[in-house]
Amino acid sequence: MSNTFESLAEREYKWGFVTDIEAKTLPKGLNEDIVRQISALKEEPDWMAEWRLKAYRHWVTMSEPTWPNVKYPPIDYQDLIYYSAPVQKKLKQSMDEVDPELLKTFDKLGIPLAEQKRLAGVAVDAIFDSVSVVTTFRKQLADAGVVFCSFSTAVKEYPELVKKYLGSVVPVTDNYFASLNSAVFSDGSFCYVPKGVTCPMELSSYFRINTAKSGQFERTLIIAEEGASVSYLEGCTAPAYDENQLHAAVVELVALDGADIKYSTVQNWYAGDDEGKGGIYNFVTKRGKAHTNARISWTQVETGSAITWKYPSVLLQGDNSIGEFYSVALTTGMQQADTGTKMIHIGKNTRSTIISKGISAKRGQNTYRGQVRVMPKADGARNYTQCDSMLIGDKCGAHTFPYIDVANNTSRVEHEASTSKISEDQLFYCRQRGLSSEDAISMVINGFCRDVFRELPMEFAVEATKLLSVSLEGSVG
Amino acid sequence: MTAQLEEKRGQGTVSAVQIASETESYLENIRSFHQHIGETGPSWMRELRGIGSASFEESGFPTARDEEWKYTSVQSIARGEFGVGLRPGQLSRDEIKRFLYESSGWTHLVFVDGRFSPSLSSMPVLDGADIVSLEDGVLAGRADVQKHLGKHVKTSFNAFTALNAAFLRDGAYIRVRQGEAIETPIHLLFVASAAQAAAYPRNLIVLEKDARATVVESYVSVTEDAYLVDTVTEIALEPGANLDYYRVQQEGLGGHHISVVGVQQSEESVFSSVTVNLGAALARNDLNIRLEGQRCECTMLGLSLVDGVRHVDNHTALDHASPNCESHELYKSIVNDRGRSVFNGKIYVHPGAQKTDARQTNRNLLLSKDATVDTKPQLEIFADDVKCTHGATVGQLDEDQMFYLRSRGMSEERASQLLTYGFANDIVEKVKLEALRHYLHQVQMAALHQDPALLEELEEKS
Repeated sequence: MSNTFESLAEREYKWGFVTDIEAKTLPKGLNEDIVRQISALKEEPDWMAEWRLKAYRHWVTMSEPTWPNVKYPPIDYQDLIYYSAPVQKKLKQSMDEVDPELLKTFDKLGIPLAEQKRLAGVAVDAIFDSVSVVTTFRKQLADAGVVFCSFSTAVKEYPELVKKYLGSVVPVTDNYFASLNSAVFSDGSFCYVPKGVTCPMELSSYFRINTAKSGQFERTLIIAEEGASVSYLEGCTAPAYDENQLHAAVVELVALDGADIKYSTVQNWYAGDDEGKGGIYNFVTKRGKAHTNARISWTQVETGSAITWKYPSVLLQGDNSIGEFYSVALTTGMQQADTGTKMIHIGKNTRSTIISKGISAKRGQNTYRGQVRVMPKADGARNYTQCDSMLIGDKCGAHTFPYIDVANNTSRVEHEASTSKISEDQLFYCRQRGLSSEDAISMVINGFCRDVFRELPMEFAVEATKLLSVSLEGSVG
Repeated sequence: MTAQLEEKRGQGTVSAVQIASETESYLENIRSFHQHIGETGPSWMRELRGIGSASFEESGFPTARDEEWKYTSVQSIARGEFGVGLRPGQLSRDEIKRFLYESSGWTHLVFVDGRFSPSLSSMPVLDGADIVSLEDGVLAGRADVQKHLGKHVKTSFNAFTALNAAFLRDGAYIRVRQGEAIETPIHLLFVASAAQAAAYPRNLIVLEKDARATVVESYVSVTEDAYLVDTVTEIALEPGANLDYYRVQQEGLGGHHISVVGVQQSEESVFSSVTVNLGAALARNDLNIRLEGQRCECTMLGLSLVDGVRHVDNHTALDHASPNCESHELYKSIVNDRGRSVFNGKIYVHPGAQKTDARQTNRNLLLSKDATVDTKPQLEIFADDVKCTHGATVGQLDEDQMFYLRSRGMSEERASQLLTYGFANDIVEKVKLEALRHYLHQVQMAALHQDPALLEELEEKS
């Protein structure tokens, strides 16, 4: 295993810096030919091309869902470019060339200088040899037998794994955006943790050094074999700009017997200007399947994007499996978020916990939408849901749509929700002790979100805290 | 999972041809009804019937694809081809006696298959109130009726409000004049007597400024066959008015009960409702309240006992459209055998409705393996200075409480009965009318297969 991995790592390295001579950009629009060409450009095997076509043929028969509590102008799917080779951006020579606004934000978030440079696209000093750090990480992973590579690499190197698990959690016919993604996904991450292995590092650390530019249609597949354990973090707290407005990613998690997957997301994409112009549409399908005694835990901090629309879910298929969902969603400016989770209890004694904190400020609209479903055979299933909303200002909105469907009388489901204004008393108390009004708000908000933040990997928890204060700046006054 | 979901969706989808044939029998019934009723009644009423008919023709019956009807299939109604009879059924006073909670003192309006029966009703003349059948009210040319009818429940709200408007003819009309308090309860009794019959009663309750009243609506049957009751009640509360409103749905086992209640509250009015579901094969209740003025109070209580293969669906929608209003909602259901209970509670807090205090709770008790509960409490909030909470639970009897009772020597069966009784009693004890409360206690006992001795024991203690 480790040999294959090393050779693979080498190849990836080689490819990563190839400057293509021919322009690999396909024309606008989507049809079967485009799907075939994407597959061909990525040098995929026939079965993969067939799989994409199957998804495409189904997508054509579907119509875009209208049930979410978000508003956006209609998307012309024939006006999008579905494949374009990554462009090597010209690196800036020094930090002086970087937008000062961006630097200010970095400072507030407390991001280390080396990382600031990487994020801003500045050539990294020779002293910070990040390549060597990455190499150390790769070796560590390879020694443990963990496969962690790009999705395209996985298709070539581990076709049997991809074939077995791809679409096993989110089928190609699942929903409009998942089908679209299945047909045209560009790349993404693949992670495989073999039986009994605990991944030697938080895969988040890896990303902090080596964030690949995620495409518009990203595909992630994480497999944890029996008794394996892995923690994965996507995104970062720094504001990310992207020219693609529509993002439709799919994430599939497979936790076999006794496995443990923790998936954390910090999303801070461009949210558009104050009038709501521009900004990313983030329409994501995330789902995990938990087998016997397995545990899947989703943690998300959503502060960016013009529209966030996602429901990280867990199919609690095996007996005694556990599903968790911890979420902080913040909408300010003209942002809209319709997010939540689905916990489907199929196995016996399955347990799920949902903690969702929504914060709306300015003209933001925040919706929690979740489903807890207990199937007839899920004896002893247990769910606890708490979703709290906080409103700052009188032009924003907070909405809660929980669906609770229970068909087993030995199960127990509890749902609690509250909506309130930021407490005047608490603010007064903080102000009285000499805190500025902004700091006071930040402190109250962080207290409100504490249950979620403590689920985040340590360094991100610190940044997420700051991120909320930065995002809320100027919303009270 | 996905396969199951799709299968479920599949059940709700009916081919276009089928839908057409299903609505056809109802449209046919509307046509012959309109022909029969001809030119009687004022023109605005005929117009309203026409709007209802057109609206139904356009919408057809809802399917599971319709979010509002996701968990409740009305196929048995669509295929049931229930029709309005042209002559009301005949019943004697003895036959309906058992449905009256209090035999003397109260005002009783009795309707058989949707038509007012003067001979079964007893209506003492009350100062300060007009209580007549809607048909009489319309014929007498009351301006109020035209002013309010169709205003508090939209004709196009759903297929059943449209049907109800298309068959608009009879129901109860209650008006309490300014500052008057009607102390004796007004009981509207709706009896279903004929198999395959459809009844479309429409009630209108108007409480003028600072008026008070207590109204009980109850739905029962003398037949075990299939039938349909599609009822609409419109309630207008003027400033400072106060209405206690009780709704007891105790249809026969073959009954299909669809109801929509629309309430419009002006400033400082108080509306308290208790909705009890005890019968029907299929029951669906929509309670829509709009708090139009400041400082309104609104209480919604609900209790459903769902056993056998029965299906009970309660939807409530509360619009906090004005600041400084308060609302409390508590709906409970006890589901046994293969019963299914559905709850959907919406609270909208409109922009500017500051200082809103809204609380909503839904509790469900599952007593058997095949019982199902689907609940969806829903908050939509557009104002920041508000206090809104909702909670929902689905579960069994509390283990600790069971243990406590068992440790004191109570049999398991008895302990479980006692706790179930206690669960329901939260609602029953809120009923202010003693006769109705007593009646509900008895029904509750019967439903829980308990002995009357226990009831006596409990009543002594309380």
